[in-house]
Amino acid sequence: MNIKLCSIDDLKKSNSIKELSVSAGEETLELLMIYSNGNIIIMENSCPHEKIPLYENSVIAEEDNSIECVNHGAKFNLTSGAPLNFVTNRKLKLYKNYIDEYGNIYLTIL
Amino acid sequence: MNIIKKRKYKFGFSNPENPNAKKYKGLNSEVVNYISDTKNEPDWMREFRLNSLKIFNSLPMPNWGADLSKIDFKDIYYYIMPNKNNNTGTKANPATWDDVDENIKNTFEKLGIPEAERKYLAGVEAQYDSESIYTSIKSKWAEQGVIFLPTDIALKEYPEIFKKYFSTIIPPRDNKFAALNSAVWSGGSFIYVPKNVHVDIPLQAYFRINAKSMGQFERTLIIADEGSSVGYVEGCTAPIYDNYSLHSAVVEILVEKNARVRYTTIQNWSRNVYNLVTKRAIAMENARMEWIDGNLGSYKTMKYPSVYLMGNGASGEVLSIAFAGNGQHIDSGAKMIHMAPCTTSVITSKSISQGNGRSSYRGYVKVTPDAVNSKVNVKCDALLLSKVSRTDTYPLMNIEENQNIHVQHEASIAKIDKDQLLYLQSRGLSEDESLSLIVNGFIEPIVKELPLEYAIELNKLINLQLEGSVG
Repeated sequence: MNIKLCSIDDLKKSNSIKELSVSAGEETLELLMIYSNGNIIIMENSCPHEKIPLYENSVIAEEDNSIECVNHGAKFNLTSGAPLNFVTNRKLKLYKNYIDEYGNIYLTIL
Repeated sequence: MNIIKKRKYKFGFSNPENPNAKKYKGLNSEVVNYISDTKNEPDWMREFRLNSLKIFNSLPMPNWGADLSKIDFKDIYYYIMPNKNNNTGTKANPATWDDVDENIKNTFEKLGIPEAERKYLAGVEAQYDSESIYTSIKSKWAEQGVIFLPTDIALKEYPEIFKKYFSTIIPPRDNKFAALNSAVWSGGSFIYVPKNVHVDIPLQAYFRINAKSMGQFERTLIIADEGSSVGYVEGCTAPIYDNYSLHSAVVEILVEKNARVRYTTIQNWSRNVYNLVTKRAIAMENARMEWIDGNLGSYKTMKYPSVYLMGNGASGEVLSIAFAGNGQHIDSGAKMIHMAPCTTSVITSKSISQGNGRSSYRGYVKVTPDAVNSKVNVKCDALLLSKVSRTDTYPLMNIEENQNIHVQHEASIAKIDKDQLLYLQSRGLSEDESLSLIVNGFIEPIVKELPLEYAIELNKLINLQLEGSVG
């Protein structure tokens, strides 16, 4: 299932970061979407460590392709979601996405 | 009536300071750059320090625990070079004990460090103000690949392993004082124990503050590779000054699969030192981490050694003694975070409050949903020696999993039993001796875990604190 979210231009206009609340069937997903190193990355908007929202509480470092929660310093790889330090052993949940020929971003739910 | 004599502090002597060594007072990016320049560090470490300074400035002071309102960050020297040795130039880490500056050498001779090294240690490190001035490891362990170096030297000699682990256990954002240490750290120990190597006698570090209004910010990183084991003992003292000093260390420990680490602290800072320390260990599969923590000195202490149990079957233990004398507030405890199945933790805390001293136990146990079949045991006992002594207990347990979790918590508070005192005196002991006997019996479960030499030293220190204290 593909759910249309917004266009790449919209995302770039909002400082390349957007928080989204998306209905997927009976479930509502709280998501964070970023544009980093030329890629669109969609993840759960919640730090796996203490479940604090990542939007406005995180630092994205393009140089090491990571996102760091500012509350306790938990750091995750933006490609795999794997933790990069020992603050937590839980992975950050990442979602697949698809971009159509017009530059619209879709959330892909299997 | 309470009769409290002024406590004797036998480590209160000091050496003349080198006036050229105190270059910058206060904390700003200039100081941080100066430290990085002096140590000739790689760019990534300089950026790490500067970023940590920003984090430090952005975080509020803790509004819980000990009262830290008197700390004036502008009135502290954050980095002090030790005196140069006229014979050997500016070696930051001399190869032999003879190369160490005469005054510094005399200090550590008085503290008994070289003698202890000869008798019963696998290696020793001595830190004086900001820099490590001597490190050695016996050849038996060095030949097996054990690394024991000042952290600054390890950054240069083992850059890959250093960068892989440094600050991954305690990131600067963890708390304000971890951020402060990350910005201005200097000295501390770096230990790497290769797979299946057992260092069966302890390594020791001794931290000494000499200068007035000094901040000591050592940074220790210990990595025990799979199947290895190591014990590390640290001691700390400082001269008595009117001005406050600040000690804010960070200790990171990684205990890999089937490895075991025991970290012992006998903290005996003089009563003008704020002791605000972050200590954390990660225990992987079937690993075991033990913290043995004796807090006797300092003006205010906030210290909660923690174990993150991240691998199946990992276990952690904290044995803690706090002795809060007149004017002291020792806020200590432990943190155990269960993140994997079949993990076990034990916290045993014993605190003694004397005169108007205040001791607090502050503990946090968290059992995440991944930690099925885990066991937790917390025991905290407090002993009050006078009518105005105070003790507080703040145990917090956050159990997110309920599948076969066993959690046990016991707490007790007691006053000195006058009947016991009277009985012991009737057997020919003095009042002081009777009190010492009761207190030493109270802390015996922890003291018996110490190596004999340290157990004797701890008992001596406690007896010294108790002299003339009856209430």
